[in-house]
Amino acid sequence: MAKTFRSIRVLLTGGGSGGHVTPLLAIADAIRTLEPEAKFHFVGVRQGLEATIVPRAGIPVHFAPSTGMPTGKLSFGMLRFLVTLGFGMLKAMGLLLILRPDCIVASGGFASAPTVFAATAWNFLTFSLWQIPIYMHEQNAVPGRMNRFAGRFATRIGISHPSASTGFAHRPTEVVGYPVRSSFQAVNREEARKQLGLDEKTCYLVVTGGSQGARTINRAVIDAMPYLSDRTNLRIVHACGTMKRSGYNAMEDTRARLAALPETPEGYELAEYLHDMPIHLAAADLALIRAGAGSLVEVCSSGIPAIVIPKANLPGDSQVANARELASQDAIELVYEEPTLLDGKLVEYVPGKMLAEKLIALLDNPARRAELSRKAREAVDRDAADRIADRVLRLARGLTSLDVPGNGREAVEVPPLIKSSFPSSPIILRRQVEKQVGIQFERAMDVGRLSDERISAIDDIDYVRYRGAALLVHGAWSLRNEGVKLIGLTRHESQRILLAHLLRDRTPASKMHRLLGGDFQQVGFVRRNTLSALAMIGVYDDPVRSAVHDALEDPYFEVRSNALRLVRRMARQGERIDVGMAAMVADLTRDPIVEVRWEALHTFGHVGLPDDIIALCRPYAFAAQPPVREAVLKAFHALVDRFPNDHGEPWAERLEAELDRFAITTVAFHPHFPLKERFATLRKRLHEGDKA
Amino acid sequence: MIYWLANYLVELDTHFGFMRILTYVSSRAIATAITTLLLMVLLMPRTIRALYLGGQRDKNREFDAHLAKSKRGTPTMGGVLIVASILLSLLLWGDWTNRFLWAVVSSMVVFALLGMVDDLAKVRGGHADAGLSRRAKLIVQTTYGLILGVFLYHPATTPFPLELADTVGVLFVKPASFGGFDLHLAWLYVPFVAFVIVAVSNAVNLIDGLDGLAAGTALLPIGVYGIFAYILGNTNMTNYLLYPFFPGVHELGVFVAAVGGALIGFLWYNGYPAEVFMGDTGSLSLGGTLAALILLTKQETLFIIAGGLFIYVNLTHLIGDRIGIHMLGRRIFYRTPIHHAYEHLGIAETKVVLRFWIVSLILALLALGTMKIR
Repeated sequence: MAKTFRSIRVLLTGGGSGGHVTPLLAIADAIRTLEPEAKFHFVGVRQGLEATIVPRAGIPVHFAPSTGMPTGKLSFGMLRFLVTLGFGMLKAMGLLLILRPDCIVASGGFASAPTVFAATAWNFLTFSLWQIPIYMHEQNAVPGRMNRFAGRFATRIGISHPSASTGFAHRPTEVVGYPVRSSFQAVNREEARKQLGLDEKTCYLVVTGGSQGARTINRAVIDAMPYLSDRTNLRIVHACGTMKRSGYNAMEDTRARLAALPETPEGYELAEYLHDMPIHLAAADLALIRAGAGSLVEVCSSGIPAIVIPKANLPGDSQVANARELASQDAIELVYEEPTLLDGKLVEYVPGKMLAEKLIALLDNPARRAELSRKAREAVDRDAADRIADRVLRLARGLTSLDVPGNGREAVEVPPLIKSSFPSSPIILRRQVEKQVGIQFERAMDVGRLSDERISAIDDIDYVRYRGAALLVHGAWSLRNEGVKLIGLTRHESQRILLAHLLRDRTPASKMHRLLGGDFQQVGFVRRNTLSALAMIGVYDDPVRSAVHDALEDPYFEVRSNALRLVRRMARQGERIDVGMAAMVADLTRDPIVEVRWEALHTFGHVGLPDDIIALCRPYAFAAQPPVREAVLKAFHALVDRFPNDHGEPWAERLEAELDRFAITTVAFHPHFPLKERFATLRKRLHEGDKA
Repeated sequence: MIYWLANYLVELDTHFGFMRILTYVSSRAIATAITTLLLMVLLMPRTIRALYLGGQRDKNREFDAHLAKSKRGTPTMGGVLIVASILLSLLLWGDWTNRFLWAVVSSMVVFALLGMVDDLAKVRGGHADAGLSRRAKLIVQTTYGLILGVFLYHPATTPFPLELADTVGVLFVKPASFGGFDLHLAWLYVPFVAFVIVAVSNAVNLIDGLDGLAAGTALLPIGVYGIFAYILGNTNMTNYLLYPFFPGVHELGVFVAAVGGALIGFLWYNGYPAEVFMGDTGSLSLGGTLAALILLTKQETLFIIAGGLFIYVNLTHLIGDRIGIHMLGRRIFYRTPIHHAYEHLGIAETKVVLRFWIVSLILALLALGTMKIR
């Protein structure tokens, strides 16, 4: 225990971007509270943010050269990377010799690579007799390549997000949370505002979708510009992100949209990436961000009022879960993306006008901003840094690794950063909603438009509606299918246009699927269920009608038969059925698929004229399949319902004659179990007795 | 035990010569069939009560089916009694030194246990989807299949004549000993055994969806293989019909008689409307039994005819469910397993079952008809 006689020395390493530096400073801060005598050193890269931030926190910075790991295998970039890393490792080795740290805390990123590898080499060369333990903290839900590799040499790995553990296969990890600083700000607000040239009256809005950028946020903020043009005291900085994928180039798309605006907005600044983001955030009055755990925690803990647009359909719907949790504590303003048709494609979208209204409401209301700021500070988990500090100190004091939590042998109870009360699986959510509504989705056609009473039984219907709509843009058809069901079950009327679009979307399925008998990307089940959802919504305006019209000609038989059921439902609700649609129904009585034939016969009873119905049903009086003949009888029933036979109508006689030649042999019957029925009624009576 | 006793007595003294009748395969087959049938009919009511009170009630996938019209709550896992009565009656009448009997009984018991675990999991989970995962089942089935494959292939354990251990019976083809040829698979015979075991046991499992369907449709192919076993174990008949001779395989005739008796006894209670279902315990063990019989009589290709119905149900399910519903997101058949498609078309359950039985009978007769075409 000789080490306790001198103060503990901790070497922090990481950086390159702010995302890796600030957590380290938070950890250092926490260690300092537990162990005031502790001494810190920081190893980073010269070009990184640490060069400016870290000295301000009173920690000496050293530099070890390193660059980002290039993708691909053999290239000049790779060679340069290896050479730089070699020099970095030498430098780091020298630093280890001079500083002789008791523990290394690495936050990942390329900046920490030289030190981690140097320490690994050190431990190897000294046969671990003079071991320097390495504590690694991973902030992201999915660890980067460098961290996954360096993680093999770490003594302990702490992660912020449970899903990160899969990135460190065969290495024990512990969910410790996302460390945030409680006592000091990296950048002073007044200083930051002075640096940016902001006066007291100016409202400073920071817009960022993370370093990659977020299409929804970028588009929404540009679309909101025209509504904000009369704000003279508003300044906006917009980091649109570095994303350059085939479908979306963040900078180009944003520039193009900006150019299309009627006038160039004043007080607006566009950047691809803000290297001094902490300064901007420190100066901000308001932020518009995504709901990744890191950015949420950083923004909230520094008390910046934020409008949050969570990204939909992530694994476990994690961003939405994060944002909903904070919104439920009134710590942020939550805005959902909504799938919208743009150029014939379904994309997530936030209307600019809506966003502008939200922004203006907050900008005009400093009291609300102060409230958000206060609640945001309260809402986030602040123990993560202490937790990590505890692990680091135990390692630094030379405790064997078994005594340090997170060795994978014991379960460490750590509250998740943010919890969600909603099932993340859409299927489970749908089943839950089905129970609340009291109707299974399959019975949509029997029930028709859902009553207000049923809808009101759904918990947090806004979220469920949002979830359903968001799922419509999901890549997997089975989840789009669940989205359709959720829209129907929540009677989300405004989504009927999107449903109509799904029904008419003729984007072909993959070649492989078509070869096996598939047709379109919106597969048969999605189209079939869309019709059921439309029945639950029960609004039949022109877009819906024309979609139903198309559905009657759909290549997939279940879509046709379900469309026929929908037409029947419309007719029953007294909706107008035009002649063209009735003619299509009549045509479908000759469909090659028998299921469609019987649905068409039944439906025609609800939409046709008496003589037409009798004539159309005539060939089916001897149909082999009982359901076809049953459909004929159902059609006749509908006929009698619709045209009361008060004065001996001429068709009544013909119908009589038709029935004389009707075949009533059948191979279908419904069993009836008297014993079971008496049993059930007895149970029922008993329960009624309970209630009374 | 009666077999041993009779054998012992016959050898003890000539006075007991009449006991010889109890050692013949044919007479023991009849005796064992009657034994299992009686055991089933007499013990089933108690078993049903015990299963019902023990909570072994069918859990279907329906959400809110009307009780008076649904089968929900029918006791399941009746297969336990099928397996138990077969074992009991074989204990009396079987020749337990016979390796063919070991193989087929082990197959039946292993699959019964697998099905039992599945049934219990379903009941515990309270849901039809709460049973064992497809993968877990597949692993157990494959493992057993490989073990059986090694048992049948390895010279030290194989019940077949050594030079024929790795052969597969081909329809309409005479064995090499009669001027035809033998299809040797060498070591590939082991994975082939596993394949047959997995495919056939799942096939029977799948068809178990309507009252009396699995028991009735499995009865006839099992019977066909019983007849083949009887023939293949008799040199006179193999010489006449040009089949390879497997000494001792006729013991399977006794086994098949036991299964037949048990299935008929089961149908006594399982006929529409069913008082008891066999559950996965029954259907998987029946499948395992059928698979073992196919392998032990080396009439693998005959299953294409004798088990045509099973192949039909499985292929349609594979296409309709795996490809259609799970991959393409559409139905290719009205419903799968295919017997439900007929129900969808308005044919009552009783009628569907009866028609499947008839088809099964026709296929069984066709399978027997191949015997002379060689």
